[in-house]
Amino acid sequence: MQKALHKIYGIIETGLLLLVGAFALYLSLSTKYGLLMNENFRWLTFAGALLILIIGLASASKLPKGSLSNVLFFLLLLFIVLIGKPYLPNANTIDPSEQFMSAGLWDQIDQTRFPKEELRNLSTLQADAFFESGASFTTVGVVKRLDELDGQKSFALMSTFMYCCVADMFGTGFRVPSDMFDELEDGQMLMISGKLADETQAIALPNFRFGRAMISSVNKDYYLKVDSIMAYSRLDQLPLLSEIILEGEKIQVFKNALMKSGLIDELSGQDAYTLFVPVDKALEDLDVPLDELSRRKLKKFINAHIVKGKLFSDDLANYKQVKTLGGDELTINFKCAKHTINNSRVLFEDTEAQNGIIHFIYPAITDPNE
Amino acid sequence: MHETFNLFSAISLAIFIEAMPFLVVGALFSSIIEVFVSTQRIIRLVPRNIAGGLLLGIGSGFVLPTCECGVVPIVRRLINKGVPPYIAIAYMLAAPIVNPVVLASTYIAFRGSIPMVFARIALAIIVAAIVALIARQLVSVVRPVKHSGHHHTDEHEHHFHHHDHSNESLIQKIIATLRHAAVEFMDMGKYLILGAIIAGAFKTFLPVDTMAYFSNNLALSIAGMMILAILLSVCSEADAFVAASFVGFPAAAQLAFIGIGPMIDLKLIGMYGLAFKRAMVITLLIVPFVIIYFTTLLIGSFDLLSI
Repeated sequence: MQKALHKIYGIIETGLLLLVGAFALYLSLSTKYGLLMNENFRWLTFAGALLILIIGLASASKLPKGSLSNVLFFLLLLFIVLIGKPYLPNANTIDPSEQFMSAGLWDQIDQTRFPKEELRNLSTLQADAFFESGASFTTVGVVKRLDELDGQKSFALMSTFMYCCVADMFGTGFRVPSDMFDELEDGQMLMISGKLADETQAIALPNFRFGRAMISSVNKDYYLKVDSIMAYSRLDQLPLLSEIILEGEKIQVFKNALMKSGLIDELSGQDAYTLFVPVDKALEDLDVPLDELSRRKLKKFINAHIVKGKLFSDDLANYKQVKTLGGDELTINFKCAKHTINNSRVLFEDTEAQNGIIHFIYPAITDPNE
Repeated sequence: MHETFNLFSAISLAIFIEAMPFLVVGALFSSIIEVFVSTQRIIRLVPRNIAGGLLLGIGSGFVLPTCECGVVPIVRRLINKGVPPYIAIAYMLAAPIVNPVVLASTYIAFRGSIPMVFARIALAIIVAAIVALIARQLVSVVRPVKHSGHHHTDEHEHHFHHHDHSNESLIQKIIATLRHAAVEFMDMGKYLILGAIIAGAFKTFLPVDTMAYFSNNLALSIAGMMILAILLSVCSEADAFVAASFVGFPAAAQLAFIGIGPMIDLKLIGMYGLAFKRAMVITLLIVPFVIIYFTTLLIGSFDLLSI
C-alpha cells in the first residue's frame, strides 16, 4: 500500500517537474516574460527550463519514489498560479512586453545607468545630489494620476524600472504641471521634453504602489517644466480596422467583398464599428457566391455584419439584440462559454483596432427573412 | 482583491522561476558528486596541521558544489571514513555558501552586487572556521551511522542511500545522475516554493507601514530575517532570490538571511540531531546564529554594505 502510494506520488512528481520545465520554456520564449521577470534573464530561464525538461524526461524513463509533501507544495504553487493568472496581463498591469517593447521604448531606457541604490535615492528626499534645477531633459514615462496631484493640476510622470522580477521593482517619478492632466489616463505613455525646476509647492505624497512597482514615489524637490508633450496613446499604437482586414489571412473573401463594395474606406475613418467578420470557410459555403451578388446586395450583406460603436465581448454580453448598419436586429447570446450572433459562432473575439473591434465568426450571418 | 491576489501570485511565481535555474544546476552538480566522485579519493588528500585542515575543509567548498540539503549525509560519511571531524564540519558550513553556483545566484539575485557576494563568502568562512575550531576541542562529535533503516527516520536522506554506481557504464551513470537530480530538485523545490510564497505574501499583504517599521529598526530587521531564514529552509542555491525580494529591508538584514539560512534551518536541525552528538548540535545551532547576528549588526550600523 505504502509502496503503491509512493509510486503514485512519483508519477505526479515527474508530471509536475515536466510541467515546470514546459511552462518555463514557454515563458522564456513568450512576450509575456516581461510581465513576470527582468528581460535580462530570459536566457537563464530558457537554459534552466531545458535542464528541467532533460532531468524530467530521465526521471520519466524510470519513475522515482515520490513523497506527498513534494507533491503538495508543487500543487500549491500550481493552484496559486492558476487562480492568480499572473501570466496574463490585467487592468492593473503595466505590460512592458506590449507597451514598452512594441513602441521600441525599452531599448531607449538605459538600464545600466540606474542601479538600484540610485533608484532608491531617487524615490526619497536625497534626490538633490543627482539633479540640478534648470537641467534640460527629454524623458519617457508612464502617467500616474493621484488626487493630491490633481489638486495642483498636475500628474506624475513615472519611469518604471524592473530589477530582478516583479518581486523587486521600483518606480520613481516627477510632478508635471500641465493643463493636459485631466485628459490623461493612468498607464498612458508620454515623451516629455523640458527643464527641471525647483519644487515650490511640495505636498506630502504617500509612497504608493504603481502597477507592479513595489515602491513608487514622486520627487519632492523638483518638478518637470514642460516644453512639449508627446502622447503615446495605447490606441495610437493599434492598427485601423481596415488594416487588420487587409492583412488578415483567412478572411480573403470578406476582404475582397469590402473592397469591391467600397465599404473598406468607411473602416479607415474615425467612426468606430464592431465587425463580425466571417472567415473564408463560412463564405465558401454560401448558396449564392458573393462574387455573383449585385453591388447593392453585396453592401446589404456586408452591412448585416457591422454594428456601430466599439463593442468588446464583455459589452456584447449585456445586450440581447443589436442593430446592424443595414437596420436588422442581431440576436446576441454571449452568456456562456459559447458566444453566438444569430446562428453564427464566434471563433475569435475582441481583436481591437483603433477604430473598432473585430469578432471572427462562422458561419456568415444570413438574413432570416430570405 | 483579485488584483492583490494576482500580484501575490506573480511575485511568488517570479521568485520561483528566477531561482529555478540555479536549483537545477545545483541538483545536477550534487548528483554528479554523488554518482561519480568517490569519498576515498578525497580522504587521501587530508593534511595533518590545523591550518591546512581548515583550508582543505573550506577550500573544497569552493570547488564541490553542494547545497545544505545534501551536505550533512556527505559529511557524516566523510567523518566515518576517517576525515578529522573539524575539517568535515568546516566543509559542511562553508560549502553550501562558497560554491560557484551559489555565488553566481547571489550575484544575479542582488543585481551584480560584488560587495554582497564577498560579504557572504567572508561570513561563511568566519563561521565555518570558528565552529570547526570548537569542534576540534570536542572529544567526540558524530553519532555512529546505523546501517539499518536510518532513512525511514529521516526523509531528507531518503535519496542519499548508497547505490553503488562504480560498476555501471557511463551512460547508466549519466542517466542515474539525471534521475538523482530530478529527485533532488523536487525535494529542494518545495522549500523554495514555501519561501517564494511567504516572500510574496509579505510584499503583497503586509501594510507598507509595517514594512517601514521593520526597515527602520536594524536590530529587529536582522533578527526577523534570520528567524525567517530558519523557518523557510530555502536551499542555498535559491535563497538569495528570496532575500533580495525583501527590498524594504536593510542590506545587512538580507546578508544575515543568506548567511544563516544554509547553516541553520528546520530541515538541518533535524539532520544535525540525527548525525551529531548533543554538544556538537548545540554548538551548530548557537554559534553561527550569534556570530552572524552581531557581524551583520556591525556591518549595518556602520553602513559598510551598500547594494
